[in-house]
Amino acid sequence: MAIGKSIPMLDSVARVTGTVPYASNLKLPDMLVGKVFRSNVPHARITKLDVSAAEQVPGVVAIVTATDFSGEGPPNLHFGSTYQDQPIVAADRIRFIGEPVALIAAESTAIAEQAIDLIELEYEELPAVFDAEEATQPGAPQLHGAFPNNVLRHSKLRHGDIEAGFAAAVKIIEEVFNSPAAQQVSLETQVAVAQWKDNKLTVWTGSQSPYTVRRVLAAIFDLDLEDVRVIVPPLGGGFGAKGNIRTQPLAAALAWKVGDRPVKLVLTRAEEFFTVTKHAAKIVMKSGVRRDGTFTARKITIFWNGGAYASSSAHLVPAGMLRAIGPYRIPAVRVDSYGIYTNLPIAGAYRGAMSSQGVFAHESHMDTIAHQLGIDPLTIRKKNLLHTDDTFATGEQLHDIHFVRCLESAADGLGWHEPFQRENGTAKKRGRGVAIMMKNTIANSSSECRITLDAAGRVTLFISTVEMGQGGHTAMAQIAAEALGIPVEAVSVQGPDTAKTPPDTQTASSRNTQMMGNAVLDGAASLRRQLAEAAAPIIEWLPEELSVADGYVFVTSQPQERIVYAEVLRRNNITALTANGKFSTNVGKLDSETGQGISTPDWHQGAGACEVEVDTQTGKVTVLRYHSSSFAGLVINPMLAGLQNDGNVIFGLGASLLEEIAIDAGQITNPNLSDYMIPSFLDIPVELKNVSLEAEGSSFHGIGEMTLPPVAPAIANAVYDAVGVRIRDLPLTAEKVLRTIEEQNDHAR
Amino acid sequence: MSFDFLQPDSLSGALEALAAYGDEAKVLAGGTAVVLMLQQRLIAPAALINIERVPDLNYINLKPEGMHIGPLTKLRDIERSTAIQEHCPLLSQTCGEVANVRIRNQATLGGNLAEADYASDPPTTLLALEAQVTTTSVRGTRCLALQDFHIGFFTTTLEPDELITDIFIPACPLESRMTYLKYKSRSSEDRPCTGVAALAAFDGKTCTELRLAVGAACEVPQRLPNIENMAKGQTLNDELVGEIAAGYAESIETLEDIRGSAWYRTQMIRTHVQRVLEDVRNGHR
Amino acid sequence: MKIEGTFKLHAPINVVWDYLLNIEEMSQCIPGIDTLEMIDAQSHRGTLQVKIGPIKAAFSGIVTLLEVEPPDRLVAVIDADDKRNASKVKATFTAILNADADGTVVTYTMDVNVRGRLAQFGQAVVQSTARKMAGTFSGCVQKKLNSSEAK
Repeated sequence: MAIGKSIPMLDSVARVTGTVPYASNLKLPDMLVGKVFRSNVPHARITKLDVSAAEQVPGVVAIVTATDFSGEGPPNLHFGSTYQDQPIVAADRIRFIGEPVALIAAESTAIAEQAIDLIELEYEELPAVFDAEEATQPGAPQLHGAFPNNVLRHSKLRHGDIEAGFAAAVKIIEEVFNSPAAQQVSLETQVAVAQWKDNKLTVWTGSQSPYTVRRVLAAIFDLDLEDVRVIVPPLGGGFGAKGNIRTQPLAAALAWKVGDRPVKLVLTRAEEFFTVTKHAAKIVMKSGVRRDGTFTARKITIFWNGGAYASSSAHLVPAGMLRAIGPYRIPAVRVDSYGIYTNLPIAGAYRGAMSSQGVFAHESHMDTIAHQLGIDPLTIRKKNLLHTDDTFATGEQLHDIHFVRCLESAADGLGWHEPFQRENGTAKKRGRGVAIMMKNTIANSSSECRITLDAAGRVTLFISTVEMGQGGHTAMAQIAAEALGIPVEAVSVQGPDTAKTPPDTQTASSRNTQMMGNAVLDGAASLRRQLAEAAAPIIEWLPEELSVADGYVFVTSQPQERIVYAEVLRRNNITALTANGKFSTNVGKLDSETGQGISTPDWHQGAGACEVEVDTQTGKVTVLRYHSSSFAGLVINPMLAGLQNDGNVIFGLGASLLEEIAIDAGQITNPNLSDYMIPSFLDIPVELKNVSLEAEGSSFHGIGEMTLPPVAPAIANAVYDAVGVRIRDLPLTAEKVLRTIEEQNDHAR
Repeated sequence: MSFDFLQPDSLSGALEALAAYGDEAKVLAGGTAVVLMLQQRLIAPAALINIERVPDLNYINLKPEGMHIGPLTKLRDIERSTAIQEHCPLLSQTCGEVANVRIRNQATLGGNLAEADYASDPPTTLLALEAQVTTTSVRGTRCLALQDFHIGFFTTTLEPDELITDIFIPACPLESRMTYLKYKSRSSEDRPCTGVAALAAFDGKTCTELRLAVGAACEVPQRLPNIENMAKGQTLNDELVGEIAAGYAESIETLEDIRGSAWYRTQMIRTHVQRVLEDVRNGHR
Repeated sequence: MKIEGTFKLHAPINVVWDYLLNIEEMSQCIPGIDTLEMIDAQSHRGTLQVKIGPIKAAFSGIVTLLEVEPPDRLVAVIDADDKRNASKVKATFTAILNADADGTVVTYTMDVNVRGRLAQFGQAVVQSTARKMAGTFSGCVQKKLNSSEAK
């Protein structure tokens, strides 16, 4: 049986021999190089843009500026998946350092760079604002006329009676947590290759959302959807950075100006930092508790720094509202989640979008509460964790909930109940911490697939699931193989290609396994019905008397009467059978004033437990052991599921201990991987283990993000356990830890 | 960006090319620094002179008076050289700490010294080893002590027409123990926040000579002879170790960068000078 | 980034003040300065070459006096471009003069914003370069004041 087997990824040989056809490697005949001239000032009114000298450089084929959009009709300058507030190139105003101001298509990168140096830009600088909370204050520079006080979105949740809740509390605890801007750092940078032919546009791009790309490009150029084709080869990583429209409009605009030659735009590593980041967030969390550690109320205020244009923030801010609350029974909850415009690069989805910041807050906060009440951190959580049939802060009743199991599994893996030695007489101290997360997924979405079976018994899956290294295609092949009873080797996967594969909302929010998985099951069921229908006249039994499984169509009551799939097709003179499958969820919308309603078709659940060592003379935190757990429902590929869990933890070490975009008056000063520090393999904990939990009767659940958000608070909690310092601003750098230890020692004296 | 690309196959050819271009040329060896700067468009030389084909610049020669290392010797080869591991393990250890193995397979010792990056390991150790650098041009040859060669941020006394042609490490005192501590404040593959190299010669428990260099926390690696002398004729007890560590911490003007503030580096100097002295005292070689 | 420093000049406070306000005179002490011409009473346009580590930077820009409070407080704004390195520097320079027993102590603060390619190079080197320039400048000013005193 294919499900439950740890098979390698379908393209694993190509991955290790370097033959995966990434969009970055794409070479088309007559292809031009696209490059972007970017602003050097965070907020300004453009007074002069002169590209004439650049146009004269031999080998420069076309330059695009805002004047190309000023005529009647398409192309439209402003685009966006939700708000169309972002210009393809800045017109009269520049809003962040790194904003595209002009685009160049040239015969080579060297020529394009030479031309960029000749572009003259003059401007009148305007006051700029970089801090999200500051941007909402009166007197702050306004970035967009339609959004007073720079608030691009304010999502609200009101559940229960918050005043009464705090009045009933024996203790009220309030803390402020800060997460900095960070970068997704996919190995492959953003890439888009665009080509026009007969007023139709084709784009090859590394995107997690081909259908969003198609829709927005069609809107920019006033095209029918069918006239825009988006092809997505495997991605060298996505992590949310590629989950919305990004550089595709720039490549398409250049190709439009050029005429018919393809234009390839690949970002440099530095440009990645100017293109999309993780939201910096300030979270104020206030909870009322009873003496026994149960909650009476929780009030949360979140300031998300969205950068200069709305992009994904418009729809992520409400998601962030839900993801900061925590998987706990709290009778009264109030959340205000503000998405704010600032003169910084655009913030977007970052693995487990809008969760990491909130989970860092509520899980650190939970330990503060535990310590103030004198209750063990594991005990207090178990006391409060939600169960199936409990009501969440949205008023919805929960189902398929396994929080306690998740947490216990991680804690037991670490040996939480075993004796633990914190000190050994040296400067190094050890501590342990736990954390747990709860995340909704996309409430309303749809996945479709097409499955064909040929006369040789081979199956092809046409799906718009994006393979970004997570094994999405492999998992779907395993599901199809199991549903049809054929070996996985007989299944191949194609897509995404909007001309050839049916629509899918996007590959993000850990939705693929569940959504596309169920679409594949639906398609496979349809295919099995077709096989039974086709076999019936040959085998001379009625279709309803036949079963289809294990590669055969057979008579249910007499299984030795059977025929292989290939023969069913051959004897019917059919070259191929094709079936369509679909799965969608439509749980509705949350009330815009209260946030009440159904927020998700199912819940993502993950936990972590870790042991750290702190060198009290340097402040350096080393994670010695980490156990993670996630609820997977039904595991398709244990090896790949385990790698997602472990991969999340390694990813999380960066956000917890190392990663922070350094910004000086709007200028990112560390847009490279020497200064912006991601974890090394040598930083992986000596003991790194994980568990993917299943449950009787459960189907596939998403697993791509769940063990990431608990990492930072688990480490912060372990550091507190080791040295008694609580740090509320990420990352937990060695210097920060040392300073806090010294301040604590000074206070003690 | 366009430049002349030269690949001389003799030392005289390389020197003539340097004489012709002066400071409009950049020398290319392993490329681990120059290529990054070219890519980031921070430098735009008129010529790149690749010296990898110049013969007789890649060697490790052990002599009674000390060790001669050619400028084109890869850091990885120094790390793995059994001769260096035996006679000067401080150097092989230090070179083995640089970046990661992929970089060490490319980067050369001469390139490392010529670049004079402060966030680097070998210069600190070479200072403690009292290394001498020989430089050659069409005008002749001269020999400089390392501290007279590496004088500031990315600044050496190398003339534009000169090439490093030899690095000499005098033989270490007998009965000496030595170690290099690279403190990384961030990931395990980061550049040093603070690096401390120590070499101590002992007569029984008495220290007869101490050389201690601190680097990466300040503009150039530094030794403090007055403080080193405190160890002469003494046992390295905890009190003396503490005094030496404090002396270095208080005397060195530290810098600030993404790996730590000036304050933090002062603390790290104190902590790591102490740890390094404890290491050599306890018999680390 | 903030760069702060102090230097001492053996000359009375009003002499130092007059010297600093005399842009044509004072600018001769700025290391690497190439050209300087007056635009008006408040502003000057100039060009300056400086080596920041291995990088050659060539700035051209404008210095504007913002606040002039004799004899002890001076604030100037510098706005300069380095086209070759696609970079821009904006700095606010504040100098406070304090008379003491045998001369004048000048305390300066520079609030520097670097934008573009140079911004990525590393603040340790930029800071050190700025400090060195301040050191060279103050040494030169001292010499000039000594020689003019001697007259």
